[in-house]
Amino acid sequence: MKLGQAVRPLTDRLGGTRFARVTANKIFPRHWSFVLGEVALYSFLVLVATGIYLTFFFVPSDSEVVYDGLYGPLVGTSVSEAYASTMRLSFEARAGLLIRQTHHWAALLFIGSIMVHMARVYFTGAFRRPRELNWIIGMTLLLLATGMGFTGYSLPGDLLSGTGLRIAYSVAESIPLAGPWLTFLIFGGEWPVAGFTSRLYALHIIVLPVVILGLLTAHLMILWRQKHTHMTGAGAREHNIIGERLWPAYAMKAGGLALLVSGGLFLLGGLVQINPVWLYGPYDPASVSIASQPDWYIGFLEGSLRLWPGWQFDIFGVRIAALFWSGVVLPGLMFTILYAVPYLHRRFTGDDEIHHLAQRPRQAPGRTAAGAAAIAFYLVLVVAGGQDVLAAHFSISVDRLRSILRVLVFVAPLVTGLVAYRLCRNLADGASHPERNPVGNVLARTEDGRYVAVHPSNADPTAAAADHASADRHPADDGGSGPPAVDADAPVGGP
Amino acid sequence: MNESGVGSDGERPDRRRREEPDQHDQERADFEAAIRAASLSPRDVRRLDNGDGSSQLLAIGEAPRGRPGLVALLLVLAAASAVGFAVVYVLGGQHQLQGVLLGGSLALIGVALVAWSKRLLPETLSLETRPPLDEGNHDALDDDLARSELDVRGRRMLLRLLAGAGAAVAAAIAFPLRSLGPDPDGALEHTSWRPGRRLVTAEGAPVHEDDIPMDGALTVYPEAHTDAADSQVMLVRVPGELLSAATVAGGVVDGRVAYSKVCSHAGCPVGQFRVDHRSPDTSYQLLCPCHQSLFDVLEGCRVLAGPAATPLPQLPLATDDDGYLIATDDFPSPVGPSYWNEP
Amino acid sequence: MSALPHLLAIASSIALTAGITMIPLVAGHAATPAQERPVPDGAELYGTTCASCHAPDGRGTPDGPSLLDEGPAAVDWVLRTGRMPLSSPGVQAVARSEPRFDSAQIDAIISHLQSLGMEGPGIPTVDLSGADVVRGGEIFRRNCASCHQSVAQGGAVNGGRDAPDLQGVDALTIAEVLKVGPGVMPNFSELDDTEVADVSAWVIQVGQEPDDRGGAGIGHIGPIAEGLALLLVIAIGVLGLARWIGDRTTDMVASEPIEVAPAGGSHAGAVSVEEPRSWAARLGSRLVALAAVVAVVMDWVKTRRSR
Repeated sequence: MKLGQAVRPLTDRLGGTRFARVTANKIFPRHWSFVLGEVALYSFLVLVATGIYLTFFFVPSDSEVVYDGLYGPLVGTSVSEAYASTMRLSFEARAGLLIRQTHHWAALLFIGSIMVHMARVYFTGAFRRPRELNWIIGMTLLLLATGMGFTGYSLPGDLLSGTGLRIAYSVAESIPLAGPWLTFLIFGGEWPVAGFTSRLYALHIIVLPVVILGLLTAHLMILWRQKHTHMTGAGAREHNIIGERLWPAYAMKAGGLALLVSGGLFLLGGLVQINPVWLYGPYDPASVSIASQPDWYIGFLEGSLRLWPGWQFDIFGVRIAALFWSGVVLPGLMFTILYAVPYLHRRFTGDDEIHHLAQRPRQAPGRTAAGAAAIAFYLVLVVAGGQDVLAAHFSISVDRLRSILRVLVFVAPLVTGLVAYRLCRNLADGASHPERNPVGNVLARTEDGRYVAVHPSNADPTAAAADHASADRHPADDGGSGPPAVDADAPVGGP
Repeated sequence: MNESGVGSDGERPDRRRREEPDQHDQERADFEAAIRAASLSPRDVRRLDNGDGSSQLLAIGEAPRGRPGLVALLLVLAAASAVGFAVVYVLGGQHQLQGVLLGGSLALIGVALVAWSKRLLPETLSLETRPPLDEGNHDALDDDLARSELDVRGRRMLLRLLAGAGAAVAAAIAFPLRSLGPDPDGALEHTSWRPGRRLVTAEGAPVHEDDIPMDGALTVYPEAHTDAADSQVMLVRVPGELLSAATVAGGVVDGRVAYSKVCSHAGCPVGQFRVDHRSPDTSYQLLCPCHQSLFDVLEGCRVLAGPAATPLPQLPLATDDDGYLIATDDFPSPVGPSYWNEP
Repeated sequence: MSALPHLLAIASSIALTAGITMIPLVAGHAATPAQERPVPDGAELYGTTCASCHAPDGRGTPDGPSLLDEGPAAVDWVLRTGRMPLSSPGVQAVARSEPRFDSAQIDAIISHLQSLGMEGPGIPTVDLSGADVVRGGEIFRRNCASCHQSVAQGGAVNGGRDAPDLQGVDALTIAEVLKVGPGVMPNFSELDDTEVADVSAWVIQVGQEPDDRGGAGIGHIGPIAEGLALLLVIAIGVLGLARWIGDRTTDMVASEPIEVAPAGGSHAGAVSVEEPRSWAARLGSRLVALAAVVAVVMDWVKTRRSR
């Protein structure tokens, strides 16, 4: 029986064949960078599936219990019920630890692939009109995913995550005019707050996922409506789209990718230990470990907190704490700038045209340089988030490392931006790909056996690449080599 | 397989896109270029009707030479791996093996699907012209929405009242949010330390002045309040003659000095006590392991380096008649991170 | 033809990787403990190896502090853990290494120092039987983890000094340092013998043999190692998959057709046209990248372990 007939009972009643046809015929660009967003989507599916399983075991309660599970070195310790249930699902539920670790890895990959996807969109200019709205939804998804990550990481009530929550509490406290009041509303009282885990839980398993799901749907529907951008290439124009139809080849690849992503995550979950809360021990407000880092996506905030100097002053009797700048203003500013990227781009380039053809990074050196500088800035902050571990590893003073990083946080973006700008200019001038079109002279043999030099950009890519072979074979013939001039007739050497 | 690409039925003509012959010429030229660039040697190029009045060009490449054997093998392995997972689970479970088998089975099907697509299906390329995103019809929309006899916009007063009522309800339902937490009401300003309260360890044992060795550090709480996180104190003992006069005035017992263990930066426990008693580098410092704020124990825990802005508050100490350490008062200033109306 | 340099690059990078991983092994064997001598002479050992910095009378020189207040526990600790003697005189970072002396020689040196008038905490004894690991963990987390990390992997204290990781450290060493508070470490002699035994038991059982039921421990320092692992997964796994599944060529061709030099005339018969980079070269460069990353990670793990 053919598929069309198989779904007949449904289409009789609901229709939808036109939709199914349009869907099956939807053209997906073939370039590899377009699957990065899909990786985020599949990580999210893994998160939902494994997360549901975990909810069947986890108890979101801060009430104190005496641990009496299978992990000997903690038996008899007073822990929160959340911690005890995390231990139970890790030690006593068969495959529970696998699901938990896979869930955590999936969270890391979810946010990582969102960022890589975001970088792709930024550097190819795919956020330009008409896709500003999807950029903004995507940014919101990144924020929500970060919130998901932080709330999830904080649930087990172990020493590491408790320390992180305490810092979040302090950051909220630092907000001028509203701080303490707002903090008490959010957390429910003075630190440590019994009962906050159930709030985190509600946020983590209902509020944030539902909003993410809604925005994800909107993100995809807008994509469906506007169609993908596509990369520059022969025949690719602003007004068309070239690629592969969804059915069957692309659907198969996408399905394969989904399974590969989830398979890879389970492999990680099985082979690489993540967040071993039994080793960290339960949270205790008076205990703390050196090398206390948040998960990597909060690392920039941690770095900001560590690098920002202890400036504190009063404005009209309102104390502005250092933590407010490093914990609220700086990340707020970073995200505001990211949100405003489509607007800023329009402002600086005056370009308000509709674009469907993605740009190569070199085609917009200024934008690429700004993006590279932003990444450098972000990376310095992430590195600063681990400054104690770095200092221990290289046996240098934390103070000295902090000073270096404080300089680097300004210098690195500047240098990276300038280098990126120069690189884009060079590449644009060369009109070639550095990997595939090596710079140099192309030697070609004429019919009468002489060799002539051809400018690389003047030869087709495959012929251009032949230069090494010919140059290697006839080193003596290369002679003075000279400037790469287009000089088709001048003989460079003879047999 | 409609060669013309234009739908024949005339319903909802405004949603139809007229495809002009020049558009087809342009599409063909672009498509040929794309096919060449993709090194595709098509055995079939055709125009397909999308069903909504638009059309796509589809090129199907040579029949692939791949054999289904590899895909079949991968699928068999995937199934075997899945069965293996079940077996391991039933036999008592082994974490790593379960991860490898479950992840492996998923990944193997994934590889099989991608290989199927890449090796067993002919390569294809499609091109279509993007429909304009703006469909027009703005006037018709306005007309539909604003038939004068049905227009609600005339009811200015009612509309204002509706907005007002909505705002009132929105404000009203914000009130329950207030129940989420108590008023801080000075809770951040005070700790559980009171004049005369003994220093006790986490286990509740009172701390005698001889209980702390030279260069030693001890986390202590107010007696009967060992669960008060804001009252945790780092009690350290240093050579008394090194302490600054102001520190001594803050209440020390012969080199025994106590500071709040809650960092003035972000509230982490300031757990690192760093002792260097070899002159000339003699230093006694407290360091916060979270963000590496460095405090000078000898000078009232003033900030030496790092992101903290204010010193750690010092707890004034004395001894009672039995030689046990007691606090003579609460901290002189609020502990923990700064906030806007901190006294 | 063009694959040859790539193959060379692969070979050399593999050799380099192997070399980097071998260094710690070779270095570890460089210093072997001296052969046992029947009757160690404390005065002679002290005179030849310690006196140049700590002075013949033990009162210290600008190069080394007085030993007369250190006590047997401290001297035993620095000698048994190979922190002393230093390889050359002068003020420098002191780190764990292969011990130079056996226990009889150390005892002889301590006796000699006591004859010079050294006083201070004696060498403790630890009885691990009946030690409470759970209580040890609580003490460790509250007092030790802020420098030595919650899984005893070590960490930075300021001034370029490290709180070392506690891998391979025995109970006696732990008891000695708690009593002495060496270097920048505070003194924990307020802990009684059972508490010391509890902490030692925890360090040996949990800190040194962490329960890695979840897979590779990747350093037991939490999110930093996990983040680096994710970076690897994205750089190799995700991008590799994307490039396998997606197309790699369309972006390499400009939108506007490239003017190609006419094939006829004097250009006819270009020499040996081949693929710009063969699959072998591409695989090779990826292997090089992988090898480099693995080398860095291995080196990192090894240095953390050996410290």
